[in-house]
Amino acid sequence: MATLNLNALYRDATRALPQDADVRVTTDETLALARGESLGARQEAVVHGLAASSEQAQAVRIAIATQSWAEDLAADLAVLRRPTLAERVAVWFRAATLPPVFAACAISLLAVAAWRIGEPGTTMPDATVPQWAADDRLFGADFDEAVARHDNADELFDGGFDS
Amino acid sequence: MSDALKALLEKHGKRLRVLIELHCGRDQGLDPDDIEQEVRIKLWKALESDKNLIAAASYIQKVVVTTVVDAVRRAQVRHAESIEDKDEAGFDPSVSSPLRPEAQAGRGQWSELLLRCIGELPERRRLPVQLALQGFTADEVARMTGASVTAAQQLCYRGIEELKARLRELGADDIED
Repeated sequence: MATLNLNALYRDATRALPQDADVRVTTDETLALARGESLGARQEAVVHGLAASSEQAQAVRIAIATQSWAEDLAADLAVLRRPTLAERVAVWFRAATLPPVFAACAISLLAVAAWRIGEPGTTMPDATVPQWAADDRLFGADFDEAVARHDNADELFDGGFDS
Repeated sequence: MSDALKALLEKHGKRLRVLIELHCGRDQGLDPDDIEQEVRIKLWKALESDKNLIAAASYIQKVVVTTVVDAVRRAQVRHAESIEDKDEAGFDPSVSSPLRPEAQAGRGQWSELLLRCIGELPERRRLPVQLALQGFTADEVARMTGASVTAAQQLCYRGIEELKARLRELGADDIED
């Protein structure tokens, strides 16, 4: 009397890798199949390769089974390895193409700040603002009406004008 | 950072061990503890040696898959060696064998018969049955073969029933699947 487990029996019978190189499955193909991606022209050969080799089939099964686990671990690792603000600034500064210019600007700003702090009395005077007269002095004096209406023009020059 | 990484890998390692236990049973000569530890060490070394390494999910999976495949191959070598040695030096209990020696002779014959019966199945049922026997679910078979899930279920079911019937005719009284 024989008790047979078909799965175990078939996996035992297909332990060896397939002789045909065409149905050998690469690791990248294994992972793509696990993600549910189509392998295009290779799909049929690869699926036959899984049917013919328990080792290849097991690789795909474990890839399918560990997919969400790997995603969770990758997410946690990304959080763990996220750089701090200081590290990010340092990386950015190293990556910048003009660090000497930044340095020169920083030194210049420091020099100006030091000068302003050291000599507060020599600050720039306020800009001169023109002061308007309270009234118009040009014609502010009383106008001599008598002179303006004088009929004798000669008197203007004390009568010394010989017209 | 190193301590945090170690703690993180240990935490996730427990879940990985369970998955390996489920999908690569000890009857295949694999030790989930060994595989989990090997994966953890590989990831640790890779992450410590390259601080800028972005450990994407696909990279992590690749590490797991290659580790499992290596372990399967090592188990096969041990298995083959244990068969060679058993007549000369007796059975070594430290060697994990996927198959008890007393059962091996009969199983070899049944394996050949099973392969022959699978070869006699109608072509449209053959591939789904083979994939089902490799442990894929009907959903996975459907996705891989391009069939609908219902069609994959029926092809697998009818194909396996046909196999059982044929093997019973050949003398198998009790068949598990």
